[in-house]
Amino acid sequence: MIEAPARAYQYGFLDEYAKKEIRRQTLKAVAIPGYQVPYASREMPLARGFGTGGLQITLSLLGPGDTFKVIDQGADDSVNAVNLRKFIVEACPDVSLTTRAEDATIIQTRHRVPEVGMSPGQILVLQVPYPDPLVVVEPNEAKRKQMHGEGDYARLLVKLYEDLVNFGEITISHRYPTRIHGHYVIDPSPIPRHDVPRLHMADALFLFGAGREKRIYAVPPFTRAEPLAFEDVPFRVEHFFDDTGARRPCARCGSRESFLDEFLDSYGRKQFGCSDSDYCARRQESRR
Amino acid sequence: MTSSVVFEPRHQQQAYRRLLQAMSRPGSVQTLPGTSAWLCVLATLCDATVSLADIHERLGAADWPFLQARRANPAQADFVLADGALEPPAGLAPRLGILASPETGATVVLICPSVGDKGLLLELSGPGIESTARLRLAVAQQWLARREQWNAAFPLGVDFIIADESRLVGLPRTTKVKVIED
Repeated sequence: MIEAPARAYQYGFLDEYAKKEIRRQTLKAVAIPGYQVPYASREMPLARGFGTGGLQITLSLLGPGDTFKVIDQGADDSVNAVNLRKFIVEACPDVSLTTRAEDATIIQTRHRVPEVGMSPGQILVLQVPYPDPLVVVEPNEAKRKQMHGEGDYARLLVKLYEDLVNFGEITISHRYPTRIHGHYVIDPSPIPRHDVPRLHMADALFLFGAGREKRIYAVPPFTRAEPLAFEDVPFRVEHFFDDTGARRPCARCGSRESFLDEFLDSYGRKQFGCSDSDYCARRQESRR
Repeated sequence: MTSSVVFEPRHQQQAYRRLLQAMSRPGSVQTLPGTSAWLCVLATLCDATVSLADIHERLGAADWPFLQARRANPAQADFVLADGALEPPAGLAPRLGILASPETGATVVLICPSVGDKGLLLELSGPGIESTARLRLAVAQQWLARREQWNAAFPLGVDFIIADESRLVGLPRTTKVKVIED
């Protein structure tokens, strides 16, 4: 049921000038892969930090004929995902919704790339809390912009090296700095390492929106996306080995390939299960 | 006087999606509904906050108020509109952006007689293209030579949108273009 207040706004909630600005900046973001294009992030009817950046990109894209999916940390049914879906139903009434990743034309996501991967032609809109990977080594924004322009990431590599010296391995679990098209290093949003290689030479467009920090950046299809690493210490994804060295399966669907979340069952025992609820539910269904 | 459908938001949403496809997959020919694809590109992207240079006077007096864009000279404009069948004017120097803000490089919209089936045969490579792509484009070759000069120092450069009456392609600054048949 669409309530009266939502109808008072035009299609896609944002006014046409806001959409035009987001569209112009998104096109520039695609033309300069990995560069963070500033834009005038609008006030949205949800708090900054709840996906306003991703939502604004989504609203600038959606139109009749689109099929839309929302992922929140892998799940379709979390509060954040449900609320975003409800908002899209009101703002873009002729867009169909789905939970099946392959059926969607546009997927808005927080913290995951779909487990099944991206299909050709799809657009993945990622919500980004902190867009600039250099912020951990340089507090001055003007300097960071210059460093990005020059492709100067020496201090970021030193940070990774310090990790190796102190802990014996690079300790970044998510938001792993990734070099795009051999130039700009991006913060790929809080996706786990498991998902980072999926950005590389993919047949899909990745758009990143940071609403609070007012930045849009992109990884176009068939573009190199290389996680920062050293020649003798290659990048690796999470391994999920148990004490015997075997790969843990998902407690629900048995998958040994998926990215796992740790949780406690009703007896307080540690369990591991797929973080992608759509992938896991469909595997459980097919095993029945 | 041109069709007013290009100024309707519904039409612009459809046009934008094709523009985004064109920019993210350089060399893929996108077909726009309706006429004047090049005007549709401007209508989709322009408003009162951007400036536009119309080098070859292709816009009618009636189009300017609808586009809302400020007139500017080509060295300062956000968008540069030109006739791709004509040689670029000598000394044309669109904005290339600065190292800290390369997005301020201009967008050049070229109107050309035919996109995709006539003219120069080009081989494209770069982001958005799996290995190489081929494209036929009826533009004056000088535009491609000038484009290469403007885009010599990534991330600085200009992004091209090339359109005829119904089709368009994008050539972002990252795309390498080789003329293999003229």
